[in-house]
Amino acid sequence: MAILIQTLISGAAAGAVYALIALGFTLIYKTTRIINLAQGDLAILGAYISLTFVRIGLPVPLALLAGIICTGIVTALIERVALRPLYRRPLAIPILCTIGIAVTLESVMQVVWGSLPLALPAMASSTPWNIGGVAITPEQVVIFAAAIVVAVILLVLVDSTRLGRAMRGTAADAEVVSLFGVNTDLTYLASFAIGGLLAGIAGVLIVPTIGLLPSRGLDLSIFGFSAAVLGGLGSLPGAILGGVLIAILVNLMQVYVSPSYASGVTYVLMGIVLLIRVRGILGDDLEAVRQV
Amino acid sequence: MSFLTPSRRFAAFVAGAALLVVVVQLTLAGPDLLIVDEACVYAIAALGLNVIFGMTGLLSVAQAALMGIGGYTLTLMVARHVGMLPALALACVAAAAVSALTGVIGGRIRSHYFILISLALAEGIILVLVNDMQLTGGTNGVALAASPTVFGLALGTPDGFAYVAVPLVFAIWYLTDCLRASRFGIALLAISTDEYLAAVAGIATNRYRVLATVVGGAYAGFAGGLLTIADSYIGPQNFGLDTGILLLLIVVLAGAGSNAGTVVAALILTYLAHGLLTLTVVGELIYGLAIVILIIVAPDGLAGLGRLARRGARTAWLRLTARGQPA
Repeated sequence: MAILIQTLISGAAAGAVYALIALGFTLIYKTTRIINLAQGDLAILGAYISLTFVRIGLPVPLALLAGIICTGIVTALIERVALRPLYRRPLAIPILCTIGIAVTLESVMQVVWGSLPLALPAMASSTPWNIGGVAITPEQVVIFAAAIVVAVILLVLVDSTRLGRAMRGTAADAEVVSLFGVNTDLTYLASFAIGGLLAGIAGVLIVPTIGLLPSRGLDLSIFGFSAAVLGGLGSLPGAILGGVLIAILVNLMQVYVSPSYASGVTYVLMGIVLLIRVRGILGDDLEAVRQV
Repeated sequence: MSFLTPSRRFAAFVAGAALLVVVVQLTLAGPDLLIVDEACVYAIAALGLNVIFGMTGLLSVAQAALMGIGGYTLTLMVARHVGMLPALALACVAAAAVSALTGVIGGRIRSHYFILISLALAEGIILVLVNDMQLTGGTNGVALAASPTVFGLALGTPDGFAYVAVPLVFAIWYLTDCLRASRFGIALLAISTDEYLAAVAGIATNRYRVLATVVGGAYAGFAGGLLTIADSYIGPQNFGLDTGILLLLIVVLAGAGSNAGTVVAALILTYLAHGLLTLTVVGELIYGLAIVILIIVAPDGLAGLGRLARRGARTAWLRLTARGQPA
């Protein structure tokens, strides 16, 4: 029983981070209909940039913040330079471009920081407290709390602010919404920038646990996509739910069934969701569903 | 295309294949020949991806993983004393079946988002290939139990393989051209252009989508089997996402679902990939940047260039024979 609770708790902490990746991914998808395959790599990039700031001598919290902001800026730059020329082309083309961006980011990280694993200092200690036979580390609590706060802020942003309404409008119909005075280019840029910020936050939170390697980006991406699909493509609360569920399921699989095949759960789950209920758990977005 | 009647076209393919076999054997040796062999294998797999993506519009990074399925099936069958040709056929069937699975699962999802399920499939296959020690030997791979010979040519050697591979590429290229001109190909074109209108016109869109993945998967299985025969060995390293992205890039470089472009692009990109790999990390960076720049700058890829060249040639021909002149 204690093992079960332990698994659930560590799953919840990891799940909060996957939820952030899925949130950024879903926000970009919701606004621009583009699948950003570089989301995980952006997260790891954020962690690397933060590490550089730490090495310069900034105190850890400031370095992490600077890294996150830089990730947002980099993502906005990428959108401006690489993706904006492609909006008039068929949708497969920007998606292909994000594949290229993902490959480029991974190799940039390898060139600049090397391919040996590095260590990013965590925000809280990892010596666990023992509560009723279950070990919870302060780090896990901080990760979970930070992710919840960020998620809530994002949901409020999309729901109530002008920018959020503009994003939802652009998702529905980009041409019509520009008649209402919304600058669609700026909205796309904003969605990518916020997606980048979310990726940076996720990377900075999870990297102390999983290690800092350029190849971690792809793993994070896949977890993020599975979470988004499970929760429902286009649904922000769904992304959060999906992230936590995926992490818990993967952890359960790791502990009770087989450690090496544990990540396979994400693939199988994505397949099952797409086969049985394309909308996922909370999705109401019909954009990705074929209506034929 | 009034100059190339169907029979002339077939003759052109046969002549081209014969010519290229001779040229390859006479001019290339050693490592260059290895690159050509690999380019042939990737050309076949890329032609399959062209059916899936270029003709139907289903974005897929799983083609390399499907090659792996074909290769491992071949290896396992040969180890159980199945003949080489039946084993190759089984490799095609296995890869086609797995590919059909993605087609069925992705049946409810729009074509561009198909990449999600193909990503899941590709990573899932690699996960199994790498971890399953008994069946697949894990990361060590498995050696092929028997090395086939055709008319006395040892297929396990680079030049023996080239004798068979180059004509095979031409044959499959011709086959794919016929496929595109057939009812199947026209249906795929209709589906990728506008699904609603295709359905209204009476095309069974769901069925054709799945069929496209089946056909593409069969190509991949064949290519994977050929690669295993060429190397006399199979390991999971060749079938990961890197190769999957390379294949996708070949089809994008080819442009507009063109088969000729796919074959040429396969040769170019295989050669470049080998060159870039020797530069290691910086090479990867250039590769990634090249993908992005290519997609932004060259929308129609090689096919677009080819079209421009053909138009220029025809204009020059007309001017030369004074047919374009007014009376």
